[in-house]
Amino acid sequence: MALPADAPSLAKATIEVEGVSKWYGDKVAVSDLSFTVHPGITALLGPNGAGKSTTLKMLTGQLRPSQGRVRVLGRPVIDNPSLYRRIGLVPEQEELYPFLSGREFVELAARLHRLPRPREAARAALATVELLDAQDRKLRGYSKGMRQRVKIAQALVHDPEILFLDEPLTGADPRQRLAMMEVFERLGGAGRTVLISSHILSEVERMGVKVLVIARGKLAAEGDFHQIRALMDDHPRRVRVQSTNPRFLAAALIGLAGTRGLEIDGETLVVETTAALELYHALPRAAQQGGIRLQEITGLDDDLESVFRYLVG
Amino acid sequence: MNSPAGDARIIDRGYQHYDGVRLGPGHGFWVMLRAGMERGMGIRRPFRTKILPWLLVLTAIAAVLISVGSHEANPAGAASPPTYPQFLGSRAFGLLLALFTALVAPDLLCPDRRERVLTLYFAAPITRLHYALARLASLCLLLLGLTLIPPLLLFVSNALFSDSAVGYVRDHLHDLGHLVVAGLLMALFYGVIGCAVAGFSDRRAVATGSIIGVLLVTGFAGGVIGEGLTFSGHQWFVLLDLQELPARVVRWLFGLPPIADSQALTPGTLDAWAYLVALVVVMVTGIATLLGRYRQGEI
Amino acid sequence: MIAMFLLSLRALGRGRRLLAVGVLLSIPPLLALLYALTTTHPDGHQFVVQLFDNVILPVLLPLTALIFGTSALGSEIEDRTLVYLTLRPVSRLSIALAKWLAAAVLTVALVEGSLVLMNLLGTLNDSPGTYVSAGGAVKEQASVLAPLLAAGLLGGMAYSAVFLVLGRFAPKRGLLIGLVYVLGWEGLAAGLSTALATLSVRDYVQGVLDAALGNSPLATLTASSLGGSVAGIVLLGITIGGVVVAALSLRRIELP
Repeated sequence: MALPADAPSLAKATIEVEGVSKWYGDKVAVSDLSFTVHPGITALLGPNGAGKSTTLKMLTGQLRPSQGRVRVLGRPVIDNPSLYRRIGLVPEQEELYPFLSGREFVELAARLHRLPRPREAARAALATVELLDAQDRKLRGYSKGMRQRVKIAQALVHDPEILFLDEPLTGADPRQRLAMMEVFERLGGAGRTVLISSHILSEVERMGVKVLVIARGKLAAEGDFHQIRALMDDHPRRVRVQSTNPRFLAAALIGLAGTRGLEIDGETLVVETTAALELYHALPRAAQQGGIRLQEITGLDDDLESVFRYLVG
Repeated sequence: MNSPAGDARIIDRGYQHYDGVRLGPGHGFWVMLRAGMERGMGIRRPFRTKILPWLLVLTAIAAVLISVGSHEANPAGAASPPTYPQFLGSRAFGLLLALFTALVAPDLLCPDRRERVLTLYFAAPITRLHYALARLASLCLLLLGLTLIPPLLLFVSNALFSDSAVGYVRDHLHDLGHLVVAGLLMALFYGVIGCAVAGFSDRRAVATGSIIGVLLVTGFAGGVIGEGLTFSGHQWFVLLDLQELPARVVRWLFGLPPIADSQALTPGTLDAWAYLVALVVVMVTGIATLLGRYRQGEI
Repeated sequence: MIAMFLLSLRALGRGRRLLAVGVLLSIPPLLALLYALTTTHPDGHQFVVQLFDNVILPVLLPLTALIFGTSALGSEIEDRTLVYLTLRPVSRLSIALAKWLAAAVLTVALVEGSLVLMNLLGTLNDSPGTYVSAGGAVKEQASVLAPLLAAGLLGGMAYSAVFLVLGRFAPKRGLLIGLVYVLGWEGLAAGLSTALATLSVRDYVQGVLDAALGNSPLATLTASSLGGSVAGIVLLGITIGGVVVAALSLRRIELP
């Protein structure tokens, strides 16, 4: 495999996926994926049925690729149980051992990882996810949010270098989501590799992460999503301008080559343009010429959801 | 936007109320009956759900064909094919029926309970009675396939291999009648037991185990106490052995004493009436249990 | 491995499953007691061996092992919790071993308990020292408990291993397939020819019992074609083989 010229951080890649496909009989779940993941937070995005979960499961060794190679920390993940010392997984399924208490469940994980002091490690993990007060309750009595948190605890108890999270934020209330994301950000900042598969775009966006977008079994885009958006020049940008004289602005802006459309609603003007920079230069000039005050300029689709929609829709 | 009226019309308004013919709960019963039979045999479902039920049916048919075939090929060497009561009352056949029941009854009753769709069923104009009886009927009709086809096959092959097929049929018409009655009885018996037990669980494995467990436990208790021990009144415990009840009633149907002389272990065995009454009691209790289970309040 | 063993023990031994098996296994002792109390000249030893041959060995022993064995891996696969064991730095063999051990311990404990009770209650009213055999002759009494326990132990271990593998490959239908095997294959087909009997675990257990009963005339009650030590070795081989197969299969398992 030849190293791309502009990939100085490849040496630090913790997860390498090369030409990976997975099929079940005639049905292709994932086709020819190739990407690398580095320390920090990476989000795996995609609609239902896109192949996100399948991909994640191939990275953890739960599924074998039909073709291609997966290497984690430089080693194959298949048939390599000792690698799991350095990997943690928060699976998507809800089912746990109903007869265990939260503490027993996390302590079990700690023992299976042969930690020297399993009780303390478990206690620390439970504290991180704020489950200390419910630790002695049986898992069958846990709410959805509590189940998610105890799953995160068992994945963190052995302090792994790589953390895989399959839809970790489902069922958590907004405050818990924020708390969890702080944990992920802290881990990512500390040099760990955190790979999150998620639907909740607004939260992912807030973390400002690198994304991998998977749609219909293929990799649709990778990188910082602002940069991805910038690359999508076949989708006109929509910019909303609040001003004291939207019509004057509209008349001035329609002359720009990049303008595709204009919409006026009260004091609001929405401009669709394929040349956003040109627009941003022209706006202040037009406002000055007309003696207009600009109150607000907002990019309407420079967010992850729009990027996502364009890629996947 | 103005447009003149006149000959404008709206063709399709999207979702509308259904105003056509409604077929009623009776029809619903037949739909469920057919759906239950298809589910039991794995029709319109993945291949692996077809394996076990069809295997059991084919085993019964194969057993008949092999015993007839081997006898015809080698009349002196191979044993003659079983008589009808021998076939129907044999332990092997009883085992086949038990396994089929333990396979299909949970499949019909447990998933609906587990997936909590019973409320959906009862939101439609299907009463709880309809549901329970439709499921029971599906199972009994499938069992009827097992209890009628192999014996009828035996009858037909006996006829074909006799000197005169027509003559054989004419002489054994009463046997044919007994076969049909016996088949109906056995299908109903096993069906009732299967549904009564399966109705209590939402996990198929538990129901399967329970059906087999009930048949086994009663078998041991009845067999060992009824025929192994010697205190007075012990022979009444034979009635506990559920699988023997239809076997012995079938023998009586064919005009034979309930137990072959060679099998009788202790003297003073019970009259045929006792078995018949016990059979009826079990079936009535079973149906009552099934209906009671589905009539109770919350699903 | 101990942690996984204890986990599996708790998972298998809870609730109604344990109760149901307990109820089933309480039947032979009850029948034995009934026999001892109601028979005028009871021959408890003979009755107890007959009970083993006709009730415990053909049905209760394999059924108990079936219930615990198929669930050991089967319910973890069906409930999707196996990932909490496989995604740990533990060998697949230790997972399989822990699962088998839990199933076998429960099976053997319950079955041996039933055998002990059955033997105790069945021989309550036996005339001490001697018993009357079927032929009417007066013979020296020999305890049958040790042979029964040996057969129960080896049989429980072997059946648990076989059904462990069954549960791994058929988590949904395993119980039913196992029933077809125990009742259909071992019950009927294997009785048809000695060649087929080599594929029947029951036959080997019978061989062990036969050999352990030794010179006792009760040995003629059981019917097996195999020598005792051969049968015992085969059963141990089946046990080890089953655990190894389960371990190897865990390496290739897919957990979607």
